[in-house]
Amino acid sequence: MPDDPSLEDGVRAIREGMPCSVSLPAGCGKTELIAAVVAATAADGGTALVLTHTHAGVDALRRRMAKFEVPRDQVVVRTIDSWAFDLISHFPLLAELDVPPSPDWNRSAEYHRGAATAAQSQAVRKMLRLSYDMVLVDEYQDCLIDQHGLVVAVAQAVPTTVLGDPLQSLFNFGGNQPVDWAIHVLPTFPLVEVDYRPRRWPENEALGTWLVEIRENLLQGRPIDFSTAPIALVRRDDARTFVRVCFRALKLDGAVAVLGQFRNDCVSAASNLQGTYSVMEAIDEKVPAKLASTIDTKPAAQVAKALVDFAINASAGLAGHIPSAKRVRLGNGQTFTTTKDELKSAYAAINNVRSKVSPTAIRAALTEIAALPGVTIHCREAWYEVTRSIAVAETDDCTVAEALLLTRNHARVAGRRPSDRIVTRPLLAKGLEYDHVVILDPSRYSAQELYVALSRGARSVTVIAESPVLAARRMAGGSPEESVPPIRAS
Amino acid sequence: MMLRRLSIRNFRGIKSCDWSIDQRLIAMVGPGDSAKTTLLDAVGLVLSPNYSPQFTDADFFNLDMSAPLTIEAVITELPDSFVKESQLGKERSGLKSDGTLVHDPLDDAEECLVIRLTVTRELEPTWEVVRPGSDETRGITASQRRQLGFFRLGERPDFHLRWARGSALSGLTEGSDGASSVILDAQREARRAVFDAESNPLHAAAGTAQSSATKLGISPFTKLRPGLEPGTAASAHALMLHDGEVPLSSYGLGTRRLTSLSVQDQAMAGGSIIGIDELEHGLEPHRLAHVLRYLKRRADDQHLQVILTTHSPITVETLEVQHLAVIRTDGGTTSCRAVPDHLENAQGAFRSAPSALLGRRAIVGEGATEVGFLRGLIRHWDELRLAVELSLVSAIGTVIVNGSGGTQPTQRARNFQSLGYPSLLLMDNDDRTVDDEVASAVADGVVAERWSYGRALEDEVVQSLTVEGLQALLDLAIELRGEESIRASVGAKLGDAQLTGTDLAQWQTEAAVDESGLRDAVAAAAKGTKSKGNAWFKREDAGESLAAVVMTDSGNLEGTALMNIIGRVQEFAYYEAPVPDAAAEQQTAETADA
Repeated sequence: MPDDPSLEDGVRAIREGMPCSVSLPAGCGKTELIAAVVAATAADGGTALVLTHTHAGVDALRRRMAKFEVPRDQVVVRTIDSWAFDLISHFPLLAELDVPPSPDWNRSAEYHRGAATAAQSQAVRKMLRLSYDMVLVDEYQDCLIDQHGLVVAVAQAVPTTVLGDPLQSLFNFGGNQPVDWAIHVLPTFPLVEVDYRPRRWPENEALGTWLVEIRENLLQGRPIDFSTAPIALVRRDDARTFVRVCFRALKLDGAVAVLGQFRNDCVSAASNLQGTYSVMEAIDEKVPAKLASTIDTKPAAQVAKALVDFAINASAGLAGHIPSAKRVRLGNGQTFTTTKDELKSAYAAINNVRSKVSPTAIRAALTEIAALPGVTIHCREAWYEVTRSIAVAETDDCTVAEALLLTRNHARVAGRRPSDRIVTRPLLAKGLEYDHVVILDPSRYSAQELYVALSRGARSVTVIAESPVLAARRMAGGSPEESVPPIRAS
Repeated sequence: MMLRRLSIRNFRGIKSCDWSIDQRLIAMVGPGDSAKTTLLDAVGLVLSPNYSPQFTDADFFNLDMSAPLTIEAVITELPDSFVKESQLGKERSGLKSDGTLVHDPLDDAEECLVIRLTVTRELEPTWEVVRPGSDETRGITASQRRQLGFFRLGERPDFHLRWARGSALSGLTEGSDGASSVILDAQREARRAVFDAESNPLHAAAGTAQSSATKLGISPFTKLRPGLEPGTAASAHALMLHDGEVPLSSYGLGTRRLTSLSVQDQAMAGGSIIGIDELEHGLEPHRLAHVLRYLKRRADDQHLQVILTTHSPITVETLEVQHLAVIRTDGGTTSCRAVPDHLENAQGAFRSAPSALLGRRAIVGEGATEVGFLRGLIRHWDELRLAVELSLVSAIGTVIVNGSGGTQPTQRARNFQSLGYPSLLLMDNDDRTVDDEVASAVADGVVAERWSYGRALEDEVVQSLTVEGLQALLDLAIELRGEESIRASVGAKLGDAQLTGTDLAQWQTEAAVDESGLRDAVAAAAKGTKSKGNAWFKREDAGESLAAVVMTDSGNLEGTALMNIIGRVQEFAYYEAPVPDAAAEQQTAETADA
């Protein structure tokens, strides 16, 4: 709260310490602190640039700025990526990079490097200096090296504070190289210590306190004991234990998130839950992209089969209507028919796709499939993304892959319709908050994934596990136990 | 703020104009109708803080609305408020030192904004910031344009002396309601004063009205009396600067313009761009020179950029050459030329003949004799043309320039020629040391007219005139310098022959020479000896009279080298450009055909 004395101290520490870095655990008022710093700066007539990683994060920060009554012209909240893209699309020569009107996020590393180059020019530095009195970057543990390069360049022009929690760093997969707190962050942004207390758990303070207590164990790779924890521990009796738990959770008030680890196990869990939970997708999920590319480039029979395969994976109850033998016939260009009257129009629509691929035919086929009896779609986001892209391709006369890019860029900005019964994974749930979470299998998580998963539920956390004591977690990535600064709990 | 480039298409008399500017004080000179004021108007419109100035079909070149009217201005030295990311910071482009525009404000370029005003056939103006080499545009609002601080002196000379909305004086006043509360208080005072006034005829009239009303049974008034109607929210327009008791509106135009200028200069903290049409308007020469020096100092201190038009030789004399921009319009193409750096002694040339810069073409006479001779010729021709209602040399814009002898005549002719003034150089042909100079002037486009090889003006005239004409010349010389002197100088050239009277035939007998010997002697005497300063016609008035002698005799001189040269000078002096309207109409017709 604005009159919380520790918040005032934190604001002062940051304003006096810039350039600096701040580490705060999940749910301990980082957003509040950022808004308070911005509000204090605005009260002195200053303007702040606040950067974060996701559009959801932008939304949350903007709402918090409004709560602190920060005048609209004294704060700019953007994602690092959209701000960087905006900069380089205005200054291609300064960025030494030409970009298309609509961003291609597969090239985001180039964008970041281009923006860093531009930010070192006199003209951009002048603009930054005249526009902002401070820059704050949230979720800094998620910064990739190239984004960090951009922030360092910006910090040359404007006093900058970066905030994050190394224990929530999850981007250590694929070719990603996130910042290492000790190696990259601290030398440029010296640590400023800020007192904190758990804030996300007003209805479950014990959980909040416990989550702070286990940080040290997680960082040091020590086992975690759930038996004494303020969580609901459910022993896994068989492979369907989670189904019972999740069905029971449907009755709970508020938003429920079921947490898996990878997309496949989330889809499979959702399928078992018969559409009662929908699958949250990454904004750059490959499944729709692969389907789009098949539609654009492959022969009609292959398109028809890929479409049916996609629909089967995204829903429950469809495989019985179109058994695998028929799907093989579909792909081979052989007769594809059914004797069941209720299925005939769907089969006809799929045959139409096979005789001539067109967005109209595909859209009709998906509509028919979704309407078949007993079919529930659990990959609703992916389904929506595909149907939306087909519609865009139909009206804009572009390829489905291009339409998908537009759909996704739109979703990045506008956000997606939130669902309050969802199957997701730590990587996607990070930064979001639910009332209740169900963790399907903590033994598969890294230390960071476990911490993120456990800290998502504001009211309750349910863990399904073989044993009450979880063996030592591995920290993913570098060696954070050396790089994580000590955090003082108040 | 500094205007660095102006590009115009299809605006009034300008079909196309591209002007690069690197000065803070620019005096546009050039003949009348060369589009100077149109240029000033163009700057005013593209930088206009006005939300929606009115355009008409007549604002389009040739009233042809098939292509849009565009005015593009490149502005450097941007105010900090523009550079913010939320304003126009990401719309900046770069202006390199070689004058090329680049899309981004590169480190080795100056940051700039390219502002474009477009008016389409719907007469709707749009202002945008554009970037070179791309189609991206972004609107620039009227309030953003206001920050550009453009101010035009002359449209409403009193406006900025009032506390009117948007005036410079209001801008200088802290707080926005200061003026209106002064007005309201004044109105209340006045109301009280009327009530408090001694009894006067108005009171008597009010008393009559009251008693009449009572008779008609109208509700009983307590006391009818005269009073001022209470004021409403007051416009501060009536509030104006006074000196003592005297409102500034009572002062002369020059004073009002200067005061207005000084107020505006102070009102724009970030530096402004001031456009002044006819700076000399209402100003005595000494005040004009003073204002120019003031503006120059403000411009040198980088507080101001001043773009003015002038028809005053005093402006040309007072400013330095780099401040001059020569404006010419040919067939709709308007050129704006600065004085090139490589010109030698341009300052001297223009100060010597400031009025030439205000004309269209220049005839440079070698020295006083030639200048006088040319004036005499032109007076003669003008008289003939006046009789048949042809335009005079002043209407054509041909100006005579004194070359001042030596190498200066060629230099001056080249200076004018290089600024786009067609120039003719009239020179003697008896000095071989200037031949190279003349040749390079000709290479620059100067028309060089020289007398027959080896001859000076006096030689050519004396050798060409009829005997009667020669006698008239002698009579003129005697009138100018006296009998004694002329006889002595001619006699000296004839072996100290003793001459009497003033008759040439008699002299020929007395000296026992043939006619050609006598002509040689007269010519030599007329040229005189430089060191003695005894040449007969080396004064403008003398040269002018000499021309009258020649033109009186001209009917007998056809085909002589003298008359051929004079004929070519006449053609040059009375050159009439093809009427632009006719050319333009033809062009429009062609466009319509296409």
